[in-house]
Amino acid sequence: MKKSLIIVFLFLLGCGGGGNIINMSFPDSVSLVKEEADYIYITSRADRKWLLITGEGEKIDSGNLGCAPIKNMAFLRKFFIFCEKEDELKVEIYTHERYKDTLKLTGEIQGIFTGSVLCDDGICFTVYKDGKTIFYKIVNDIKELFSKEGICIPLSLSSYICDGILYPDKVETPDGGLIFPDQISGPILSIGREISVLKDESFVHLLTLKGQPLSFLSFDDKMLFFDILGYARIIDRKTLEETSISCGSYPVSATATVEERVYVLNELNPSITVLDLKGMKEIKTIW
Amino acid sequence: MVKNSIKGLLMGAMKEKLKGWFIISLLLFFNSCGFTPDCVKPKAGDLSYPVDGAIEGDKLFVLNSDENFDYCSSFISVFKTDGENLTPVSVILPKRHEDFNLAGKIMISNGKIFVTERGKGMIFVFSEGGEVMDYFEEGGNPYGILFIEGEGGNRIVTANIKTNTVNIYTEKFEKVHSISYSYPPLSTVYDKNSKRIFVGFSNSSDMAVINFDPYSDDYQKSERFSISPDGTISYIKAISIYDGGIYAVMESPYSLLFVDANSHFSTSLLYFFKERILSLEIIEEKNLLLAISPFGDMIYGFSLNPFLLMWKINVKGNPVRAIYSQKTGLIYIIPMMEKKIKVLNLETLELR
Repeated sequence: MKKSLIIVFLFLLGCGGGGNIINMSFPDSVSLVKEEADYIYITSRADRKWLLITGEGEKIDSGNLGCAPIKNMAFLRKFFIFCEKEDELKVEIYTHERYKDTLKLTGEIQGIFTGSVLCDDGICFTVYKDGKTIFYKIVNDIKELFSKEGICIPLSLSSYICDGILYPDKVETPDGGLIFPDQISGPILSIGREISVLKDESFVHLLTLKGQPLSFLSFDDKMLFFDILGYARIIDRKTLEETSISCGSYPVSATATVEERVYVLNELNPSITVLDLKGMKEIKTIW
Repeated sequence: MVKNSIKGLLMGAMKEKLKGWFIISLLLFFNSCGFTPDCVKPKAGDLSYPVDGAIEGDKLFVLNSDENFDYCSSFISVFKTDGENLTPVSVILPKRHEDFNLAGKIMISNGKIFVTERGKGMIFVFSEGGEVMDYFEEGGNPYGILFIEGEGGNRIVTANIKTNTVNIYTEKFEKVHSISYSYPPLSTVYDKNSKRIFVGFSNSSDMAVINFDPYSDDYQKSERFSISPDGTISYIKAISIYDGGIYAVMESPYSLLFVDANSHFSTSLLYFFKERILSLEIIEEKNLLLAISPFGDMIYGFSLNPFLLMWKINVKGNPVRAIYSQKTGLIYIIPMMEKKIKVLNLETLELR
């Protein structure tokens, strides 16, 4: 009897283990703050949850939100969470300072969140309401910048797409295309596996990837596309040569340190794949 | 005494006989009207397991499958749309309606209402007034239906999910072409500009393209291609077309794809859903795509360009269709399990 109980106990221990650290379905946004260690912030719009872990895979804290977190970003050692209250058509902006260990409501704006991007000395973001999009900048406080007609997404402080037109160049963007902001090459257009860049007021073909990119990171000397086949495609900016590292399935969001340690968020099998770009290897997977 | 008792017996027998005749004549009367005493005739405003709907002018037509047999047959409920108010107008039934199961699709063109039927595999054509103008027994289970206008004659296209065929007819139901496939053709769309019919199949990630010109009756063989962007995303549930691009919802995993139909049919993954999605609606003038999940009681609203999830809204009662009215600027949502059409205001996202 005692023996069988021990077997059952061991079996259950083996099955359950300690449980996954990334205990949320459909995590879709990741960012990092680097201090004495890497601190990784993960949110799930579908589950309305947030999670803070270290780059080594140790859980710091987690919680639920009363809104749907669309995106999280890091700036000046703070995490910013853009969260939507769909029934009230309202965007709530939360900040999370790791040392203060609190999630603080920083601002509320009526409308629908359409996008955000790092710009100059802050985060630029956009909110759509009543047929126009208002552009804001957040450093410590939220400042309204300007507004444009239609549904717009920001690419930088001066570049944005409104109703399928890329400004200030006034270039038409095709339906079904995804645009990745890049400070160095300008906006990058992806239609399926085809990658184009803006040149002389039109998108020109740059390269064909082996799989459709789902997310993108920009470095001075290279571009990183994380594709649907589960690979990080590293493209040398000068030669356009491609090298690949496996990064887990459906990499929807990614973040990196200046030392080129990359954290890739996998949406369908909730996990973080940690890559070392300098060593060109996959370090580990945090489940 | 004896005489009286015999008289009483005779009277009783007569009464019983009369009662029997009365019941028989009552049954005959109901049968001649097309009803049996047990069945309830639907009245204006009734809904019973609606599966599809369409808007023509200021009228909303709702196709009720009557899956639970609450009424004598399946039927079409007609409502007048006056802003957020819906006024019941009438009910449309096929002739000898108890024999038919209108559990397919409804489509309206040039004042004609086309409905597919799964019991006998019929295609009905009703006038807006409710008269049966035409009908055709295709057999199997014609599900999707398209009406394609052309100078050389209009064409009716059906997608039969039992015989796995796409059938092209003249307006008088003379068969022009029939194309067989290995999977059920679940969803069909027509691209006016390129004169192509796109077919999405159940249990497959394959899509077929039929080069078809209704003006010249020129027809080329159907081609098939996979729309899976990585080889594993599979099983098309519904497709919808906009400006040469096809949006497709997939079953495994629940996702939204974009197929560039203008060039090499390259496919992009756009979004993963938490719930299974059954249908798509594109509202061109609002630059909006709606993805409807009856199982998750959810409707997602995406802006098409830039592609962006704008909102998602909880709609109870298993919504199956969301139909936009250009006239009122509102979306009429048909929930399968509720007896009320819901109205969504796109500006305020208020649901009534």
